[in-house]
Amino acid sequence: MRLLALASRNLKETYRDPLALGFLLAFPLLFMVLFGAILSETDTNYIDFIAPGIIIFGLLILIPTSARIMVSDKEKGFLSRLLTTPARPLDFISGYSLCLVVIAIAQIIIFIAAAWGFGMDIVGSLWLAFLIFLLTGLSSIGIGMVVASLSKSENQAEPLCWLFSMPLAMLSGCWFSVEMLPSYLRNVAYAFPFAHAIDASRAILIRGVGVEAISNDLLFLVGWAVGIFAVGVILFRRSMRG
Amino acid sequence: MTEASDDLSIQALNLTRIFNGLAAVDGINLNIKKGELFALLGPNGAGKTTTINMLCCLLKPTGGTARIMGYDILEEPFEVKQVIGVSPQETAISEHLTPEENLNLIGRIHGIDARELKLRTRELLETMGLGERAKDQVRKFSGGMKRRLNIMMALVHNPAVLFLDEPTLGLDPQARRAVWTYITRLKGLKTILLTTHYMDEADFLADRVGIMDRGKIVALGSSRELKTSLLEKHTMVIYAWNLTQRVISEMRGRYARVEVSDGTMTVTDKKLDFKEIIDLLHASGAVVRSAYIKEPTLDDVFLHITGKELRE
Repeated sequence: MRLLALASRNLKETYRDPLALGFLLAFPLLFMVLFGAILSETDTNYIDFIAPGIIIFGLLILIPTSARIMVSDKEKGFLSRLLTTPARPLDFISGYSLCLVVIAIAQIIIFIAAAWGFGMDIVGSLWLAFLIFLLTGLSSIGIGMVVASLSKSENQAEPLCWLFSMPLAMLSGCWFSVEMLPSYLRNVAYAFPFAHAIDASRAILIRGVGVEAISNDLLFLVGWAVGIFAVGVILFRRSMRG
Repeated sequence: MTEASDDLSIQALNLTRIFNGLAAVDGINLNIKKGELFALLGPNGAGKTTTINMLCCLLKPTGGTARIMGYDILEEPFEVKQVIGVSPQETAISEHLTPEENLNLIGRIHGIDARELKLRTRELLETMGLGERAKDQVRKFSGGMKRRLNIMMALVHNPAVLFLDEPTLGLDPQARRAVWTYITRLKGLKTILLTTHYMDEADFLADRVGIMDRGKIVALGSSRELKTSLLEKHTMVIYAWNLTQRVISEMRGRYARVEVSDGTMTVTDKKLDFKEIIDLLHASGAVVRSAYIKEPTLDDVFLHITGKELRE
């Protein structure tokens, strides 16, 4: 009951905030529309290539969103108020996580529908692609949780997140192929889950490959999602103790 | 439940909190009775909020302990959290939620039955004057309305002990008065520990006041007790015409301190006889337009004890 009450509150705080909703949904969709329009005259298949990258970019925006929700509650004393109730620290963390996972699922569904609407030719398993996207979302939430634990205010957390997310989006191949990068930057890109997620989702959606063909990327994504989520939970729990 | 006096709601036992070698709260002992409204009064940085944070299990004491309704804050924090309601210094509310949703959240966390919660929420919103705005998002509210909601969120689960940390901080005089009215309604029904740096707030609301300075409670008692027992001097202010040098000199011979400025005479001494002073002035030919004994304030008490003023 506590978990649902907290998750529902966090969801309302997000979807009733036009700015948050704009960043989470409208911003990536705008990229999709712009790239679609720019490239519609030159290469009719470019949407197939660009859509998975933009979906991952949308999920990368979960980093600042997760950090903002949690840091804002810390900064405004709302978390302190809740800590004077019988709710346990794990209730709060689960409440934030559940809300953010729901947001990630909504993002994935909306972005896939939008990509299809822009003419993307989906040939592979949507379920497998969904799994890849969900693991990417979990990694973003975990990173956001780590940033929230280390920041004292929204003013600290937001620039830190963008400083991290934007170069990572570029390096991971959200807008162009990672193959264009020099090898040392490619190594940096593949140290994070997002380049793996883009490669795997492109392979599934465009080429229709199965789980065996993307097993390495999938394992890497599972490892990252579990690892960063665990670190995020430990750090955030510690930061709640003041 | 640990052993404790049945009459007491809050007991602080040598409660101490040290930050970087400095004692923010320095071994305070406090007994607050059930149904009492107790105010911790002191300037910013006196240790009031740190005290409340320890009492409501947000901060672990470095030394000593406290009992809330008999539950030890170190040994039984979960039980403590079930019997307290806290209204923090910040208006810690969800801005994109309605007041009803904010209250429901706290009620659900406390495990209150949905039907009962609905009744309590409605009753609280009506009592605190927010009934008509129950469905509006809180971000559109004024500072005073948010403060009232802040207090309501501490009350929705019907706690035995209420902590109000600077409940009127930053409010205009009218909004402050409104919050005072609501707090007054709770007197006797709940044990309330309120912190404030407004002396008039402590004076108006509290049954007893603890004056805090540099982590210690330096004076404790009812507002009247503090003002009368701790102050050795009384002051009389007289507005008069025709105050001659002769009568001023005579007064200076009789009383410890006599100051005259623009037709206003201020007389200060350990003992003042109102009638005697008025008669003396009349006899000298002065025309007394008005005169009163200046009531000592808690600020005077603070000044008397610490040698500095309680800044508002």
